[in-house]
Amino acid sequence: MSDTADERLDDRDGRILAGIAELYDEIDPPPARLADDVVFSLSLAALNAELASIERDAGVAVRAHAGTQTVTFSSSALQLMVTGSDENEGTMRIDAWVTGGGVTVELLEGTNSTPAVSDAHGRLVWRGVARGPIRFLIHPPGPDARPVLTPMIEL
Amino acid sequence: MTETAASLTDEAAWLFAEFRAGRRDRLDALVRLLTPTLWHLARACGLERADAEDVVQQSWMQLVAHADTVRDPQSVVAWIGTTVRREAWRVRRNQGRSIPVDEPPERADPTPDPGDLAALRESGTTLGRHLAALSPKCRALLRVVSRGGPPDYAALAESLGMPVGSIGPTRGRCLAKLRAALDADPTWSAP
Repeated sequence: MSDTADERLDDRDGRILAGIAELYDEIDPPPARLADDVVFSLSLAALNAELASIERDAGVAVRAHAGTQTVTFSSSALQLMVTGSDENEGTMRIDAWVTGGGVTVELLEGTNSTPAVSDAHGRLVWRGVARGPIRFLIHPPGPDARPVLTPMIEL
Repeated sequence: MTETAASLTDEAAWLFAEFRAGRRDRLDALVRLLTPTLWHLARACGLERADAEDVVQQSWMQLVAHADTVRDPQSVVAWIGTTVRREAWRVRRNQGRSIPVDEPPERADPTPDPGDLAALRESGTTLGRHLAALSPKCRALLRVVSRGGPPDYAALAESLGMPVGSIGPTRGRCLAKLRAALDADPTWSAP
């Protein structure tokens, strides 16, 4: 067999390469949601959001096996406290309190966003939330207020 | 998966230039265009699936953060591809995988995990069997280069740190070897 490495590529090479691409897409495909996740992460980054921190010293730290768990996030301007409790069908109800009324808070699960607006007492609630990693994006009122993004948590 | 005449590099260059000119929505299209290729690149660099996802994510963040430093939009595929390879190298070093040098290698040093080989062999295809018989470097090159058409080979090979000309316009050593093996195999139905 002569060495054909120096020959120009022909159609057959193109078909072999197409076959390789197809084979790898079959045996090791990119995760279906990878591109969506990237788009979403970039959109969050573009918000130039302030990152909230989790308050670890609070007496109501995450309790691993209890039916109810509470986590408090804080940023320079506000606090968000969230409590998750079990619902019937393996989903969760999430109650939250944010500093102030009329604040829009998005519950982010993967690339899904479910916004809610706090009532006059700063209360918010989401029902039927699937278990899994979640985070919150808070939009403080005011034209110049930076959005606040919490770290990911799993209640 | 069909490779069309449209060049990945050209389309990416156009979308990236538009993005830099203020069309933020073009970034989404660019991500969807290149992410599968970057995934295969990260995997060809020997990363586990979860690490490959992280590295692809990180590399996009870096591209957006350093968008102004990419001199020529035409080089955006090579730029982000190179970033993926460097990040992959860093991740593997931190995991204590055997990497003999302290700096990212100029050339690809892929050591795909054995799962890659097993999957190729278990694919039950003649092509998979012969790919598994190639060197890790050749396998990585062909896996990555196969994501684009002829105009993209140079950029894709460059992202792997492979010398330009390792494939295209000539066949190159890796593809020549694979093609010869396929030609000699009676179970291979020539496409």
